[in-house]
Amino acid sequence: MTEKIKERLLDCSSGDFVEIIEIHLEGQDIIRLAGLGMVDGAAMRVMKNNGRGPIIIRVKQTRLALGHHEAKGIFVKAI
Amino acid sequence: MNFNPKQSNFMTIGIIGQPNVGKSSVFNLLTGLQQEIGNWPGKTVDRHEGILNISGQRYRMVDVPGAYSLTPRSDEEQIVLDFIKNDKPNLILVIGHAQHIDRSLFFLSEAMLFNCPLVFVPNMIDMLPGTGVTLDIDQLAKQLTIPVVGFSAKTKQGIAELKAIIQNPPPAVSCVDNILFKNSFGQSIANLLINAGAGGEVDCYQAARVITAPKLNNTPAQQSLDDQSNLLAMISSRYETIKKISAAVSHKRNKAELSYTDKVDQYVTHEGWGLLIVVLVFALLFSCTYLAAIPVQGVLDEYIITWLRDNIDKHLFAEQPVIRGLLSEGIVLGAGTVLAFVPVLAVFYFLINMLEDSGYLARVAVIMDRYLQLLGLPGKSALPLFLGLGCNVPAVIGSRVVESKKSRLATILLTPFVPCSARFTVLVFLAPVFFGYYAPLMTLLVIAVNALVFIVMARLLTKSLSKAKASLILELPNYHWPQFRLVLLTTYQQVCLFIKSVATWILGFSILLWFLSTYPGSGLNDSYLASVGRLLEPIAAPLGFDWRLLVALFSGIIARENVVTALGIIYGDETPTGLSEILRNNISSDVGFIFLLLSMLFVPCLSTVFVVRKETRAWGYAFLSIILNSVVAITVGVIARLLISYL
Repeated sequence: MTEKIKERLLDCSSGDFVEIIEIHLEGQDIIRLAGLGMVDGAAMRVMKNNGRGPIIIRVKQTRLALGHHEAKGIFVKAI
Repeated sequence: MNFNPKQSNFMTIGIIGQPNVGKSSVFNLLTGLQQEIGNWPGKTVDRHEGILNISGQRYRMVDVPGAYSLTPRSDEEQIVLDFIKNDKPNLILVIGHAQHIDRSLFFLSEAMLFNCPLVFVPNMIDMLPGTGVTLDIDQLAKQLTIPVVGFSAKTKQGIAELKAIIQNPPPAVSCVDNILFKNSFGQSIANLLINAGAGGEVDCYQAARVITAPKLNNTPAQQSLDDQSNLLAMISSRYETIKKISAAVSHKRNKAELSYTDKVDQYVTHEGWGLLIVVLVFALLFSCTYLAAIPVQGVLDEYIITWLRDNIDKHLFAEQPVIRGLLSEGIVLGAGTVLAFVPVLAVFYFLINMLEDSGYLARVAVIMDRYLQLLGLPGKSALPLFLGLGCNVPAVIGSRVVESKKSRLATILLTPFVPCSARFTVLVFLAPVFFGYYAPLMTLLVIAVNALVFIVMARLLTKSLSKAKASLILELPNYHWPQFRLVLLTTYQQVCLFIKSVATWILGFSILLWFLSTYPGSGLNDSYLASVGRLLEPIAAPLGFDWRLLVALFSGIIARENVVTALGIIYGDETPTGLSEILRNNISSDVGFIFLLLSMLFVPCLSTVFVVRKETRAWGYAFLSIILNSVVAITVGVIARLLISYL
C-alpha cells in the first residue's frame, strides 16, 4: 500500500477528496471548526482552490469558505 | 402590542442553535405576531422576544442569536451563555439542522452542560427527501433520552408536538448520564463537576466556560484542560460518540454527488462570473433601494411635510412667530428628516434580508474577500461600504453583516468617508460654479482625493483596531427561496427599531439647530450660528474660509443638501442662477476647491452620527467619528491649500 502524504489544505486542488489529519490553529478557531463538523478524521471535498481568495470545501453537507491562514493550519491526506 | 414578559411570571422558553438552522422560523411560527425586538444588554445584536399562547397559558419565548459553539468567541456566543445563566430558562429548544445532524449534535452536547430541560429540534425536515439524507427521529430520541421533534416551518410539522412538550417540560438533562458524554470527554466533565461541586452548588455555567474556553479562565479546575491537545482530544471524543449515533439514525445515499447549491456555486463563487454577479446584485440593490425609495420620499415630503409646514405657517400661531417657527422649522422639518429615511431603510432592509435568507450574502463575502483584504477588511464589508455611496445611514446599519467586532467597528468608522449621494449633489451643483468648463475634471479630482483618503483611512483604522490578520471561517448555507413573511416581519421590526432609537435625537438636534440659526437676530446672518462662524473665522484662515463658508459647512451637519440652501440664505439669493453668479464673484476657485473637499470629507450628517452611536452602543464612537472626519477633512484642506499655493 502506498504511503499517503500529509499536506496542507492550502495546497490541495479543486475536486480533491481529503481527510483531516491534524488542525494547528488557535483554540477558538478549533472549536468553531468543530461546531461546523471539521474535526480530525472528517472527510471533505475541496470545491474550489485556485490559489487566490478563500478556499471552499464541503464536509458532509456543510460548505465552508476558509481563509489562507486557516487553510495553512489544516493538514490533510488524500482519500 | 403591550406586554412585558420579563415582569410577569411566565415560564421562559429559550430557542438556541447554530446559525442558518432556521431558528427564527420556529420562533415566528410559535409566537405569530406577538413579539418584540430590542437589543441584548450592551450588544448590537437584536433580541427577539415573544409570547406563545397555548390554551390560555402564556409562555415567554426568547429567540437567542445563532452561535456555532458555546465558546464565547463572538458576541452571539456570549449572549447564549449569558441568557442561560441570567434568564434561567424553564425549557430550551435546541434547534438543529436535519441535514447537518453531526454538527447539530455537537452543539446539543454543549447545551447539555447547563443542567436545563432540553428538547432537540432537527429543523427543515421537509428538505431531506431532495438531498438523499434520511433521519430516524424515533431512534434519535431513544438514543439521546431527551424529547426530539422533527420540525418544518414550511409544512408546520412538529408544532403540535412541540407545544405539548412546552406544556409538560421534561426534567433537566444531566450531561454526565447522557450518551453524548459516554466517552473520555464526559469523564473529564464528571470530574470537573465533582471538583467544582466540592465547595457547594455546582455552577454548570462556569464548568461549561472552563471546558469550552479553557484559555479564558483561571480556575484550579482548568489546569488539566488548559492545553490545546486536551481541547482537540475532547472534541474528537465527542465526535466519536456523535458519529456512532448519527450512523445509527441518519443515512446519505451518494456522498460524492453534487447538490444543486454546489452546482450554482460553481458560477456564483467563480472568480470572473462571481464578481460579475456581485456587481449586478449590488447595482440592483443600489438602484432598487434608491429608485423605489426616492419617489416615496417625494410623496412624503410634498404631502406630509410641506403640507404641514404650509398650514402651520398660514393658519397657526399667527400671533406667536416663535412657536410657529419652532413647529414649522424645528419639529416638522426634523420629523421630515427622520421620515425621509423610512422608505430608504424599509427597501434596504427588505432586500438585505431577502439576500441573507436566500444564502447569497455569504457568497458576496467570499468573492470580495480577496479585494477587501488589501484594505485589511473582511469581504462582508464590501456591501455596507458600497451602499454608503447612496446614503451612509443604511450603510452603517448594514455593517451588522460583518461578524468580527473589530472589523465591524472599522467598517462603521470608515463609512462616513464614503461620499453619499447628498454630498455628490453638492459637488455637482457647486463644481460648475467654481470651475466653469473645468468642472468635470475638478469633480473627478475631488472624487480621486476622497478615494485616496478612504484607502489611507481604511489601512490606518484596520491597522490600529486589530493587529491580527482577519480570519475567515464562513459557512456557505444552502440556497433556498427566502421566506417572504419572515423577511417582511423582520423588515418591519428593524424600521420600527430605527425610528425608536434615532428619531428623538435627530428631532432634538433639528430643534437646536433651528434655534441656533434663528436667534437672537432675525435670520441666519445675525444668528448664534453666524456668531460661531465669525468666532471660528481666524481658525479657518489656513483653509481660506470666511465665516459664511463655515456656517454653510456647519449647516450641512443636519443634512448635507443643506449646504447649498444655507449658501443661498447667507449670500441673499436663493435662486440657483442668482446664487451661482454671487458665489462665482465672491469665492475664488482655489477656495472653492477646498470647500468642495471639505464638504465631501467633513463630519457626516447628524443621522449618520446617531446611527453610529446606535450601532456601536457607545457615544464615544459617535464622537470619535465626528473628530476623525473633522481632523481628516481639515488636514486634507490645509494640505490642498499649501499645494495650490506652490503651483
